[in-house]
Amino acid sequence: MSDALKELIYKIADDQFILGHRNSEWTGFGPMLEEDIAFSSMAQDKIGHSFALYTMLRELGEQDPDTVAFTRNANQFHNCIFVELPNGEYDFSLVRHFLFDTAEALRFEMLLNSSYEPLALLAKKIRGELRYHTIHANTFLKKLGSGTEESISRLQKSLDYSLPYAMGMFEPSPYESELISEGIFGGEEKLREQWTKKLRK
Amino acid sequence: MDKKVEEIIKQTQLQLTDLKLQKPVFGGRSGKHSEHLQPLLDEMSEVFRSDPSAEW
Amino acid sequence: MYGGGTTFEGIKAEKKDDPVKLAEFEARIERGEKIEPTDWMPALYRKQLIRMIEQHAHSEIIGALPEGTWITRAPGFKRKMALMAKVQDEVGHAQLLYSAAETLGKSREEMIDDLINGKSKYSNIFNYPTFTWADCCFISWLVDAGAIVNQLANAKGSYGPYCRALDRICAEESFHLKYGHHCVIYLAAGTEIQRQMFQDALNRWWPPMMHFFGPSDKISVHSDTLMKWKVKMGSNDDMRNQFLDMYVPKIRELGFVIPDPKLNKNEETGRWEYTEPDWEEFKRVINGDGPCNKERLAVRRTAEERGRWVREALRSPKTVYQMPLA
Repeated sequence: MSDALKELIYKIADDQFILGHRNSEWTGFGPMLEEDIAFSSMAQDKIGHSFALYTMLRELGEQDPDTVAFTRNANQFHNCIFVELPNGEYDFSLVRHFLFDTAEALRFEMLLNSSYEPLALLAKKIRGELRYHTIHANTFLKKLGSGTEESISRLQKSLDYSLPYAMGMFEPSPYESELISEGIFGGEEKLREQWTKKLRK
Repeated sequence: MDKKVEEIIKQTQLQLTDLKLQKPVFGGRSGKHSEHLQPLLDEMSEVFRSDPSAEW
Repeated sequence: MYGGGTTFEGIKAEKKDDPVKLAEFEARIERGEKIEPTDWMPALYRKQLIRMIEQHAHSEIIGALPEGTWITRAPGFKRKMALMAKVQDEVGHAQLLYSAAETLGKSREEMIDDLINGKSKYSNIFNYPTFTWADCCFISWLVDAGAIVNQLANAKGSYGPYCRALDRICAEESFHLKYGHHCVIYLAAGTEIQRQMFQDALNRWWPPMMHFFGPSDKISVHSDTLMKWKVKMGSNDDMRNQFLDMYVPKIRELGFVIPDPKLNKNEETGRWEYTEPDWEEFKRVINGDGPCNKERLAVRRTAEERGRWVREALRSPKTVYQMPLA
């Protein structure tokens, strides 16, 4: 159980940590001050979440968060490739932010019911922050996805480019069935379906 | 709570190509990354690794 | 908070203001009242305030660059989180200050255009490079400290919107100062490499730090009118002296050596004596010939150009209406 759990926490933590780092690269370079500030807020949240997750791993016998985050090499990181891609232009950063944060919010929603209590508690605690991220992403995607010819075509291009990477977020782990049967996490397949499927309430 | 990808995209002029046709880029979860990750990590740990015995 | 070392040009009234209104205006300031956007004010007052607030706002966004470049390299979670929050605050200050300046009739776009085409200035100190983590710590601690000296004085000025912005800004500053001081304490108490790293940063940054408060009173433009109107709240030398009073002991307490053998407080006059800063260099840098002027403006210009399509799309009538987030 422990290996499966650690693998799960590592991949979530590394996703948050690396994308938080990318988001922070916008500080001082955003298309307007408000977006510098928004991306910085999200970077701080993400890096804060990764810290909470690395601290959880510490309790499972891993090294301290600074050592884990600042001394591993690339082949020891479990993040999906999507989050490590350079920021590029704002259109790509926004599309990634939208695709990733939608999945992330769903992932933590699933974790609300995790049998591993620390994960369920964290999911509860950061709900509000994740919600802000998805509201921000949805707002800007809707605005720029309908604004001008240039903004629409830029977003379309970035969307087409991003999709294969975005699907990579749901790369199954070797422990899927174990995680599901133990009630720790509902699994990547289920997450991908929810992410894709249109909401029907 | 959260609206899903398709629902949001529908409210824009963007087209979502069939997700089933996408070939997912895997590898990251098992440590096989693009060429972009190591330079990111090198930059991030530049100070931290410059004096491993130090506290900052 | 990065404001400081505002430069003023020669001050002379361009046209006669209505003497009755002027007397009333000056009497209000004398009584300590605040001037508000819709109140009558002399054209010169408006012009100098725009200039000052705009320079302050620019200093915040340009000042975010030399520190911001260390966000991705900050050593460890604690520092990374704190530095991100700090630089974000500075960008937020720019937002507040641009809004304060807009109340005087110049739009944010115009101000940013003037910044990137070199027409309006920002604090000279950000034209110097941050080579190491310690340079970044120097800014967080001592440049912020210097700016606080200026801003606390300016918060008592006469223009309401600027004073209120400064009050909010100052409220956030105690955190920044504490953070910067903390970073330097760790370097001081650290390994030989760390101590040397900060000493080197101090050696590099001391001359621009002395420049920060602006030219010596002996050579700077006479600004009696601006003092009377409470636009400028203290002389450059007074500000510099206050800073030295507060921070020289703290730097020495940590065992670092300030690179000026003449630096000494004259106990009789209560004033600091120091090697006269190189004011020719100050002028050169302010006129665009510092180590990083071109780079700083190029970064800003690129950000503006790359972001243009975003701003245009947000203004487009076809843009789907969204409830504002806040």
